[in-house]
Amino acid sequence: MAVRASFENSNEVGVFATLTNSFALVAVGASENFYSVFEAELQDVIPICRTTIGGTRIIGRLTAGNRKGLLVPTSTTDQELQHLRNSLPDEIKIQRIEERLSALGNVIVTNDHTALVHPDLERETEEIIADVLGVEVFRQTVADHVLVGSYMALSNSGGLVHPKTSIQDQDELSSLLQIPLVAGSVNRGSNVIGGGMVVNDWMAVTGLDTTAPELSVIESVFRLGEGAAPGAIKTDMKDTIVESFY
Amino acid sequence: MDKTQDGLPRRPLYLFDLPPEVLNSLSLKTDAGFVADDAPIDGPGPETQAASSSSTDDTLGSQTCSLCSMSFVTVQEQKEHLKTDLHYYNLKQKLNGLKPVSEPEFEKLVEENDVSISGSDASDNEDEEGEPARKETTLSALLKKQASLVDKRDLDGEAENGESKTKKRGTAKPPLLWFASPKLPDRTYFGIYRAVFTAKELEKEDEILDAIRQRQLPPIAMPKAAKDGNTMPPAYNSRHIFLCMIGGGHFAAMVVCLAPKKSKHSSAVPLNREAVVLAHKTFHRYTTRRKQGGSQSANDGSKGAAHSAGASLRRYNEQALVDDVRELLQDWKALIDTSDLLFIRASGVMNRRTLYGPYEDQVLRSNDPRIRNFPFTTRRPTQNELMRSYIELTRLKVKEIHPEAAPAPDDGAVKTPKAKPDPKPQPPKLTEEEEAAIFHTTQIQSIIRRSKLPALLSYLTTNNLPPTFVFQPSDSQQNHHAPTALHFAASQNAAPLITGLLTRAKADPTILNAEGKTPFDLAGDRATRDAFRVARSELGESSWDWEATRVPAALKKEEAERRAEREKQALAKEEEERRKAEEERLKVEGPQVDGASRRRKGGGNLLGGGPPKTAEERRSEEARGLTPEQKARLERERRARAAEERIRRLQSGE
Amino acid sequence: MDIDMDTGMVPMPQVPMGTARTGATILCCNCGAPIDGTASAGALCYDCIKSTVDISQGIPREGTLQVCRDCDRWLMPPTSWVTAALESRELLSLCLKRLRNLGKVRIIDARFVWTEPHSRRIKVKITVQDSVADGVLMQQSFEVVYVVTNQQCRECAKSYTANVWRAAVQVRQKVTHKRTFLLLEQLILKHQAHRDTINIKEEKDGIDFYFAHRNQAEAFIHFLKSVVPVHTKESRHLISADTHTGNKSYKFNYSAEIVPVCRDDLVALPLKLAKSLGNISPLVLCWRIGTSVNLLDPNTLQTAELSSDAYWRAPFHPLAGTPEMVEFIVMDIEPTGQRKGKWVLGEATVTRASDLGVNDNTYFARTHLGSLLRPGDSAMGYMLTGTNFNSDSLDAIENSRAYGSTIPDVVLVKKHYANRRKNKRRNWKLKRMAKDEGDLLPKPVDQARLDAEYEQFLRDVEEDEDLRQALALYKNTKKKKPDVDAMSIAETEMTVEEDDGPKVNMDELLDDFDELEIADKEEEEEEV
Repeated sequence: MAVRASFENSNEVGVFATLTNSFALVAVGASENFYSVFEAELQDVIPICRTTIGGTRIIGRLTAGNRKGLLVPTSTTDQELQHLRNSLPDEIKIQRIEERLSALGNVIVTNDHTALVHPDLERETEEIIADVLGVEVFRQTVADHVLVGSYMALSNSGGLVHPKTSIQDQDELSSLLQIPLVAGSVNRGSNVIGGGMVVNDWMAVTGLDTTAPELSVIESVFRLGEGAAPGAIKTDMKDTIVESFY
Repeated sequence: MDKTQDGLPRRPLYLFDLPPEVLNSLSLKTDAGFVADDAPIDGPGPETQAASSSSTDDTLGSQTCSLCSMSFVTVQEQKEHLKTDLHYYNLKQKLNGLKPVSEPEFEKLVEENDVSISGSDASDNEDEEGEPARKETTLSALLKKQASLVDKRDLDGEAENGESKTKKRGTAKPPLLWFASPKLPDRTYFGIYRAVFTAKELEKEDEILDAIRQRQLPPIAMPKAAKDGNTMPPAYNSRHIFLCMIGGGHFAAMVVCLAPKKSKHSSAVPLNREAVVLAHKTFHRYTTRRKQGGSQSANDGSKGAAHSAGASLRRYNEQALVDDVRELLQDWKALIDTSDLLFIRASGVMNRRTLYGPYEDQVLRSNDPRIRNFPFTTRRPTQNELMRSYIELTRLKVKEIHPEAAPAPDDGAVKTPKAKPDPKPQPPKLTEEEEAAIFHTTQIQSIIRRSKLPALLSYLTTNNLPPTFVFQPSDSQQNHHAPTALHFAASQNAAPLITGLLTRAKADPTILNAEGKTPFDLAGDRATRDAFRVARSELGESSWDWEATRVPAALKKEEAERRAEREKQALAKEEEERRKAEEERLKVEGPQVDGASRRRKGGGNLLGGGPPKTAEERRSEEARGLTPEQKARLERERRARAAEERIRRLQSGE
Repeated sequence: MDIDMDTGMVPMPQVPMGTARTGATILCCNCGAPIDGTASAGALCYDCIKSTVDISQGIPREGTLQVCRDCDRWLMPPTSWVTAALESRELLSLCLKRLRNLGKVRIIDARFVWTEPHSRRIKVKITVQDSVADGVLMQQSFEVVYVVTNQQCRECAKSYTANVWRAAVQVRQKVTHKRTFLLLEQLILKHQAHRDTINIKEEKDGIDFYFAHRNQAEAFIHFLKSVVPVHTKESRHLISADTHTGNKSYKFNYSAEIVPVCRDDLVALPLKLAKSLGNISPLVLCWRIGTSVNLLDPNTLQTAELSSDAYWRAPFHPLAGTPEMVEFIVMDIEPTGQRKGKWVLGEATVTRASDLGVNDNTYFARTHLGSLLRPGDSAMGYMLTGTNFNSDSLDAIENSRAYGSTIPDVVLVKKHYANRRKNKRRNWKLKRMAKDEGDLLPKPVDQARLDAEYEQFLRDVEEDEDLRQALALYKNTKKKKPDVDAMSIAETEMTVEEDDGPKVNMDELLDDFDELEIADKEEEEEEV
């Protein structure tokens, strides 16, 4: 299910929200409309946490997470960290990272198995990512952009990359991630995919400007068609997931 | 062929421990005077492609890395590659807008960057724990260096290329001996440095294989090194060589046992033999002048002793280095004296004096027959560099060599998938005789062009060239057409040369060129053809098979001259008549022509008189003195005309 | 308005990255058409870009052009007017300059679309190019319509409103001839000082210059002061006054009176003045008029400079002027060796040209022309003996003890070229100023006098190199129709006449472009 929403008249949903298979973070101070979009789909399935990070609302760009964990930057205050800890289930590891590139959402893109990161990320950070999120970490670029988190959106069933990504690069990334990738855009031609949408295995939220063709591409690549629901995930992907786990 | 490829070149071959099947199959490549291609075939090169093409299994995407231009069989391999330093380095290169490097290039870079100043960096190399950390630092150091010194590195690269070229261009004996083996693909050979053989062995080239066989040593079964790193040195009686480099205040020396040590090193490392280092030592003393270059003693010698603190430090250090080195050599005397070969790099008077003295009870003597230079370029004297040199010396090179003047190899199997570092192929290197032949060719051709008969004859005699000397290279356009001097002279219409070549140099007029033509067939004018006929009469019918030369019946010299005279007169007469007719014509037409030209000239003056008028001025001029209605009509007509013209042009344009 | 007339997209050349470009990679975000994402602009397909992006946004599609109906010139904002034909390059550049925001895009092509002139519309079709998104250029054509409106240019306005002047400069010189004004005219022409005048009128003893603004008049006065010794007075006349604001408007009159002493005049200085000018002999020649009056004592070559202020404190009239000069023949001359600049003091014995053959009266004269005159030459000069000057100054000199006996018989002024041909054709010419000469044309007698004065002025210019430097001389390329008789006469005359007077070197002359073109045309016609 892919839905459109806007955060205070901004299309950049990915900036103000983080969505994973086990939790969702949304920035405080939006209209109820925005929250209701998330709540309608996720209520009673996964926790939705309204928070700020370091006092700012651009939580989607500052944090990165997946089913197993959440990474927050150094600017996160202790109260915020406490709040997150209280709001999220205990099995989700939360880790504050000392990293020069503090907009973690821009430099990390991850699903539950693999993470692609900015090439300049420190080795320590790389290891923390691997440990906390339980993923394999690769330093990569997307269409020659180093901000992989900004220009890419990933779920366990597919991925959307920057429209200028060449077919060969798509193939390589797709081989690396073992999920189908397509190039595309959100929010009426915006190439900032990661900033413009959030996605998990059964829903995607994009900006209000997203056109019908874009939405259809998103639905098809992330397999969000009818019948996609929390219970129905990972049926067709199970084999590959298992293979890469053991 | 797949089998051989799998078997041999994949694993580097160690000279002193060749597999028996290789050893038995070796044969010396006698005409190995030239080296065609400088792209060494790395072992895994050819078959990777085959492997990748065969392994199209059903995984998603393509298991390639376009950045490093590699392809992988499995996703796992791809993932591993993506985590390597090479890939990361290439990623940074791309982001910096630079070209990615290949694996060997990258390794070279790492090595270059890895030299520690003290030259004693071997200690932390041993343990497994230190490995990733060290790589990490080298890579980041490399990246830093690359970021700051991009330009410089480019220059270095060029310099290195140039170096390798000059090495090949030299006319002296090539440093490598080439051996053919049926185990290798076509035109691919093993290369062994001459320097590892003794002079005696080199003299008898046919016995060189025996020399190689003699060098085969059984590997030493050795226990793994004890934890504290103190291995008991194996007996000195095993064969070993001594390597030493000195320069710029650095000194490194090593004694290596030639017999390899079998080690159970795990999979990734390609070389599963380890060199047994019997002893090694490096020194570094501060002797070269910072930012000035040159040693302190050299500077003192040329400019007088400097009195700075640095100068006295360096002076002291120079002396200390000499003492250290000599002491070390003294310590190693037993080892050195039993060494098979002494590889020594010591350039400069100072360095040579340090090693060879003369000083009291010196160990090394400069006339020692065992002493060798390193037959390749070496870098700063360090332990690593010595090790690299040792491996370079003892490893068999595998190279593809194209026979001279052969067309470009179309053998797909031996083509490496990587782009060659140097896109311009070197012109094939030529043997001495061929070079000489080409030289003679150019000389003779230039003499013929200048029609210097005596010069030509004397050139042929002094250089002992037969008159039937065939021009080289035979495949060029010109030489295809005119392969001999006589052909060439005929094609140049040099009649006196032909006479001279035939009568005095006894050139053979029956030789055919590649088109099946005799020299006579190439003659372009009457005089040249006559020269052949005169020669036929002078040489007599019996000297050559004149029918084969296609020269017509003989012509007496006087006869030819007479005819030439007659023709000349006829020509002169004709010319005179023509001139007369022309004068007549001019007399009739002359004045008219003058008038026309004058008129034209006047016009030119007028036009040059003033600057051209602008359209506006012309318009106002025309409109002068007209009533407003007339003016309007004029304007209208003009614009209508312009519009018509425009439409016409538009249509014609389409 | 015509966005989609002719739109094309040109992908910018990109550095090949070694990846295979194979067909479509993304869907257009607008219409879902498959496109190659690596080469497209954003995520839009060609058609969508064409329909959504307008690179000519902000460029006005209508404009106004001002043309002056009288002189057919176009207004180039802010103030200049340019001549341009319809559909000319000049007009096109003018049209493009009138469009705002055109600098933000790249102009590929611009051309006129033909319109009837009486429609008062000009249409220009412009093709512009701009980069739409990273790496993709878009090209677009549109038409701009200009409405042609009439506006009178300043020059034409000036010519229609000659009487609306605010300031007038009345230049006067109270002498009988016009030579100073002829010189002044040339100086004004050379320095373009008449640029701002509304009208120029010839009056008795001088010329009036009319200006639209007071500051222009003052600039003109300033110019006058820099070239001639002049005395100015300002007066104003109240036209109107606004009692509410206190604004008043005036008409200004400037009276500029030029010192009446002219070149070559004989001056009898008041004794006191002569004493103050370096004790110069009171009977002197005026040899030049600059910003002050330059005086020369021909007996001693002593010079003095009389500033206009000093003159106007004690004005005097010249003793004699050019009309009073008579011709002398030099019988004998001998330089004394004393020289100053170009002058060499000489002692000459002269006789009056009219006396030749009548009597044997000879006169002795010291002259500054010692280097110029040779025995037999003729010279112009003043005859003092036997002439009755009605002058107080001269009387004072005669009566003074010091100078009474020093009055010479003859004062030679300049060399005279007696054989100079009348109406001879000069290879140079001067420009004249168009003057409004009042109501009536001068009478034939006056006209003859004016012509003679002008001729005299031209001769002065020919003879004096310094004067030439100050003026703008033009090449005279106008040819007279040669007829056979005239030619032969001219030739014979040429052989006879040796001393035809000084000539002006061609190098000093300027090209006059108007004249050149006319000559050109004539020649062309001749050729035809």
